[in-house]
This record gives sequence, structure tokens and C-alpha cells, in this order.
Amino acid sequence: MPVVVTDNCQKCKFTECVAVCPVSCFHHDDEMVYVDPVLCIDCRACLPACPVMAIYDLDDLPEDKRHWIAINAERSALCPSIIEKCEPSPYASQRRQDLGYS
Amino acid sequence: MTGSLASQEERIVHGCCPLDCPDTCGWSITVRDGKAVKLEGRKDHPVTAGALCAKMNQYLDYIQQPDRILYPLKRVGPKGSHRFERITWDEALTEIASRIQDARETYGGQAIWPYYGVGSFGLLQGLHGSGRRLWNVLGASNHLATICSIAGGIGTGFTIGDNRMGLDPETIALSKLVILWGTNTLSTNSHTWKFVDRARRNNGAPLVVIDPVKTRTAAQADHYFQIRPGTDAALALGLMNVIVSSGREDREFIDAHTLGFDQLKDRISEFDPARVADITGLDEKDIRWLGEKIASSRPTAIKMLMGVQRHSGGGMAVRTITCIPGITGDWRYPGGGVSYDTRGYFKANWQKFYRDDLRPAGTRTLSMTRLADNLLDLDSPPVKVLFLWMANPMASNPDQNRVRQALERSDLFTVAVEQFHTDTTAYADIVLPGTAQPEHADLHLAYGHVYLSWNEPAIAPPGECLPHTEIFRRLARYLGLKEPCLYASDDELAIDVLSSGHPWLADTSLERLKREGFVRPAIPTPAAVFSNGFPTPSGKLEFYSERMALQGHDPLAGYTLPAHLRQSDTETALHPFVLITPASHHFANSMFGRKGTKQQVREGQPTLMMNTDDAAQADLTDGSLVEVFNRRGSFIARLVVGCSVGRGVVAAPKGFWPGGLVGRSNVNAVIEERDSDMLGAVYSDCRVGVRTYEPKPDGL
Repeated sequence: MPVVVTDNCQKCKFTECVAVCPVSCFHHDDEMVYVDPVLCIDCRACLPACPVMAIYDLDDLPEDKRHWIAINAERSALCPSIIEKCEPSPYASQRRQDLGYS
Repeated sequence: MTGSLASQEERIVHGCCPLDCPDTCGWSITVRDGKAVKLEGRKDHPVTAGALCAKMNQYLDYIQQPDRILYPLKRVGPKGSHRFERITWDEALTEIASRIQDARETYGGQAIWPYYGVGSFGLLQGLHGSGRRLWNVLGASNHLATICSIAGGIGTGFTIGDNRMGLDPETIALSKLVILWGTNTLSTNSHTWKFVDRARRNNGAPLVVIDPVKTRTAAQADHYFQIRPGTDAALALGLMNVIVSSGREDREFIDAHTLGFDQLKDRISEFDPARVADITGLDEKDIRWLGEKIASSRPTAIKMLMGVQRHSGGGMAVRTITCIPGITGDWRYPGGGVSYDTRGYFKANWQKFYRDDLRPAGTRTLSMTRLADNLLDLDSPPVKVLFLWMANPMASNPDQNRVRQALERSDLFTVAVEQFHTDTTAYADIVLPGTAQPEHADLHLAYGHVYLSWNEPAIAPPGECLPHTEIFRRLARYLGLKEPCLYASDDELAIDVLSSGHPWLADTSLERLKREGFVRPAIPTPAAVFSNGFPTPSGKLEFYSERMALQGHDPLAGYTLPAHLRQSDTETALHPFVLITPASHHFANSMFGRKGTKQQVREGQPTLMMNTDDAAQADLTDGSLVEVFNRRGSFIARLVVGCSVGRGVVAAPKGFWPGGLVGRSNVNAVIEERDSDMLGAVYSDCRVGVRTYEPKPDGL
């Protein structure tokens, strides 16, 4: 079961996940990253890598975040691939603090 | 301890994954107050690169499950009833030693079968080193691990001189054309995917996937070849036909470094693309395209794993595919050649480690995948003591019904070393509690990369669990054996196997391994180790092999038909499908395949893939339960109808434990106990029929 990137990624986009993905299955737009559910191999290396816990295993995805499954599938098909870590959003460290992860 | 002291109570210990997987990941375990609290792939390992996999990402939880076996057990109910009582190690070892001595006195040492599986690829605790010296001294039957790669290994060796050598998979990143042949990289070799990806992004290399099953890896291919099972050697000859017909072979390389090209040319000329299309079920134009592409792409990398050789012509298939880079000269270049196995990059002192010199001359060899035959049909001497470790034959061996019958023998004394109860431990007289990877030391080579790894114990074994090395030392003592090498410590064993003095080990020492966790052999980066010749008898790549002729094989690379294409018309009518049994995404062989594990929940129920047209013709519906059958037995699966497989082919991923399934059989109930052309089992070469499952009145 592929993993799912959810709302904590928005305005963060740390891309630590991209650095550890063994199959380069992340795609991105200006806001956040998305996982290609066909290529994801369920290794879960990205889950602990994310500084704001934005990524979930399908097993653990809360009800109110289930809509992110379809968003990841749709957006990964439309957006370009990202294979290397890049600079996070300028709001990232503030957002991380606000989310309680610093 | 290796690693750093992160804080007073916390430290990081380096280790590696023990599973039957080419990737042998380097990992770090965070230990806090003596407990393993975190497991991470090492970011600084060029292959692991920080990620583990779907199988192992919750391994620490797995080994701490409450049903972990912590104490020796003695069977108190009938075989198969899973009724045990706890005993002490002293009682267990006394009993085992006594039964071994009785067997030796009455029947000779060969009545003992030390049967190891592939549960650990560590040299000290796993195959092929653990316990070997002890069994040699006892004169026990010699166990031959035939369950997996052996046929392809022998085939490789006939062509390039070393059963376990080939291209370094890291160098695939340099290739201009990548062919994944009979391998589902994203499921069973996922850490190599990054090298494939680099070749595509950096070099514009097309990805070709050749596989009877359209796997998740095949879905990523630029060109997918859905080949008829077992016909890969014919395709290889067809590709060579295209290359040679257009005069694109590397004459300089062929003249300098190969033997038998003239004979091979004659054979190649018989495999024109039209004939090969007929044999393989592929389109002639696609065969021509691929031959052309190989001819014009230097270097081309061909990556194989073991799926391609699980049939009666499997050894020859790998041999013949391995000839392709001999025609194109690809062996000269980093990123060129064939990769099947990389264990040969470790130039070990196997002699000093194994001490096979202690084994009595003429000791018989027993094939692992002929378990039922060997337990039921042998009588000079019969097998009276079966010592199992790292193995779950009830889940993994061919001819499941007959294996069960064999294990039920009342006159067979069976020991099983395990971490958890399995369908196999139910038949053991004594069960011994073994350690898991964070609880023991080990030294690992890999079959998908060139690094040697050290696994330092991170935590103390739970309960009374012991490493295999310690179990065998203690058993030797209880047997009163005096041979000093039986009592070597783990470090001493490691030093022995590292002691070859080979130049490739010049930078490797146990001390460095413990400090760094993994070490590269002393070869160039990138490496192309065959650019100057091959370790064959002639020093050349042998299209024609005299050694093969002496062993009764066709000496020339060729196409040996799989058994499923050699059946009578009646047989084919009764059993219209050839069954492929590929790896599951979430299991490693049968590890984690027990009903209820996280991995099993993700993998789902056992499934059978069938082609849409075949399902329509047989009036079978997608999603229904079907019974898959032949003369050996049957199993039940959920039908998945689609285009994952071609006509006449069905596929059922392996690894589910039979005890928890409807019908209490898994796919191995229909697999025959039969050797391929070069030893080895034939898991993907059996014919089956498929019908709608009708539950019997007794509910089974």
C-alpha cells in the first residue's frame, strides 16, 4: 500500500523524503510533494524523514485525511518528478514550530 | 561496539539485513537502555541510501511479538498438533546428542540430514557456513541448497568461469540500455532501481523488462516483453542472431576473449527472429528492435535474478543469456555485461572456513528440494535425524502433501531452530529458540552488490535464545567431540573466512568491518572485472564448454525446453496452464507470510493471475475463489483477471503459510519435486488446471 503525503507538507516542502526515497517516486508543485502510488514500494523510509510528520501509511491515515489519497494520485500524474532534496519553503521553519515539531 | 556514543543511555550500532535478498542493506539500530528502539537504513551506504523496504520496515516490532519462542521445547502431542512443553537447554542438547549418537552407531553419520534453509544469508549464522564444521566431523549427509539460484549459478560458471560473478549492479548507472530480465526489481531488488533510474535520466537509457508476468517493475518499462515462460534462452539466441546477422559483433573481443564463436554462430543461425517469435510468443519486430538496440548500445546491462531459471532449462537459459555480452564485447565496459549474482566479489577462504576436509570421502549429498523423496525413499541409510534451521519446508518446499507425509514419519527425529512457530515446527520433536539479527554477530556478503558487511549484536538475546554458532558449539561439546575448530568463536570464524590473502581483500579486515559496518573490495570504482579475461579453464568466455560435455550437457550455449512445453497433448488438455510462482512484494520467501502479520495484511489473500481471454473461455470470474490443481494436489486462490499474464499462463505469488489458508495448502501443493537441468527446483515449470472453488461439505 503506497504512502500518502498530507497537509503538513503545504508551505513546508522540506523534501527530506525525496532524499531517502529509493525509487524516486515523488512529484511536486510549488506547494508540496506528492507520492506516485504506482511506483511507491511501501518501504516507509520517508515517514520518519519528514520533520513535520506529513506522510502517512494507508493503515494509519486518519479519516479526515483520506481525501489525500486521491490528491496524491492525481497530482503525481500531473506534476513533475523531483529526485533531489531542495530548499524548503521560506515559511517552513515557522510552520514547523506552529505544528509543534521544533 | 561499533558506531557512536550518542548519549549516556543511547548508542548506535551498525548491522545489516540478513534476509534472502540481493540488497543486504546496511542499517543502524538505536539502542536505549538495552532496548532496540529504532532501525534505519544507512544513508552513507551507496546501495541502501537510507531506505529499507516493505518487508523489513517494522522488523523491530516483529521480533518482539509476544509469541516469539524463548525456550527450548519438547513435543508432547502427535506430530502436527503443535503441543509442546518447555525444557532446559541441558535436556534439549542431551536428547539431541543422544539421538545423533544412536543414529551414527546404527546407520552411520549419513543418517543425519543437517537441513538449512535460506532464512539468513549471514556466513556465520546462515548459509552456507553455520554448523558446517560440525556436520563434516559427524559424517552427516552433505546438504545441497537447491531451492533457488543454483541452476543459474552453474550456467553462469560454464560461460564465464565463476558461478557467482557478473557485472557490478551499481555500474548500471553507466549503461546506455538496461534490460531487466526475469526480475521484479521494485519488489525484490528495490535498491538497484536507483542505478536503473540514473541510467534513464542521465544517459537516456531505455528500460526493457522481460518477464512472463507484467509486474510493477514491468509497468515502469519503456518496452515490456511478455515472454512465454521458460523460453528466454531462445530469445537470447534470437537477439544474438540479429546482432551477428548485421555484422555488429565485437570481433576483437571475440577473438581475444572467447572460445567457440564459430560453433555458436551455427547455432545462432538456427534462431532467426521469425522462429524465435514462434517459440517465445513475442512479436518478430520487437525481437529485431531489441537485437538492434543491443547492437547499437554500448554498454548494455542485463540484470537477472533467480526467477528466470526456475524451470527445466533454467541453467542453460542463464548460460546463454550470459553469452550476449561476449558477442557485443560489453564485458569490457563498466555498466556492461550480465549480473545474476555478486557473491563472487568476496574472495573468501572457503576451505579454511568450511573445513570440508573433515568430511569423510564419499559422503552422499542430499538435495534440499527433494525433501519428500529423500525422507521417504532412501534406505541406505535412511534419514533418521533431520536437523532444521532457517527453514520452513512446509511453506517453501515443492510437493507439499508429500513433504507433510514425510515429516509425519514416526521414526524420524526432527529438531527445528526457530524464532516463531511455523507449519514446520509442528512436526519437530524438539524446537530450539534462535536469535534474530540484532541479537547476534554475523558477516554478510551480498548477491546484488559487492560490499562485505558486519552485523554487530545490538541487544542481548531475549529469553534463552542462542545464536546458531553457539548452539553448534554446545552441541559439539555434548557430543564429546574433540576437534578444536568446532569451538571457534564468532570472531575466529570471521577471521578464518577473511584469511584468503586475495588482493581484493587487501583493504578488508575484521577490525575495519566492525568499525565501518561495510567495506568495498579493493577493485576500481567503477569496476569491469572481466575486461582482461575470464576464470574459465581456457581463460576465455566459453560459448563452447568442454567441461559441460564431460558432465553430460550439450557443450554449446543453446535453448533447453522447459518441461511444461514437453507434455503430452492429454496432459496439456487436463492442465492447460503453466504456473509461475513469483515473489510476493511484502514477504521474503515465506518470512512474514503467516496470517495476521502486517505484511500479510498488506499482501492480502493468495491470488492467481489469469489472462482475460483465458478466464472468459474457462467461464471464470474476476474476484472469485478458484481451485488450482494437478496430480500433486491443489490450492485455493482469489482470481485476478487481466493482462498481467499471457494466454496459457497463470501466476500465484509465493510465501503464504499453508496452515492459515482455506484448504490448508499453498502454491507448493502443485509443484513437483524435480531437478532442473543443472540441479535446482522447478517452481515455475508445472502445469495446472483451474476451476471454480466449491467448498466441500466439511467446510474445507
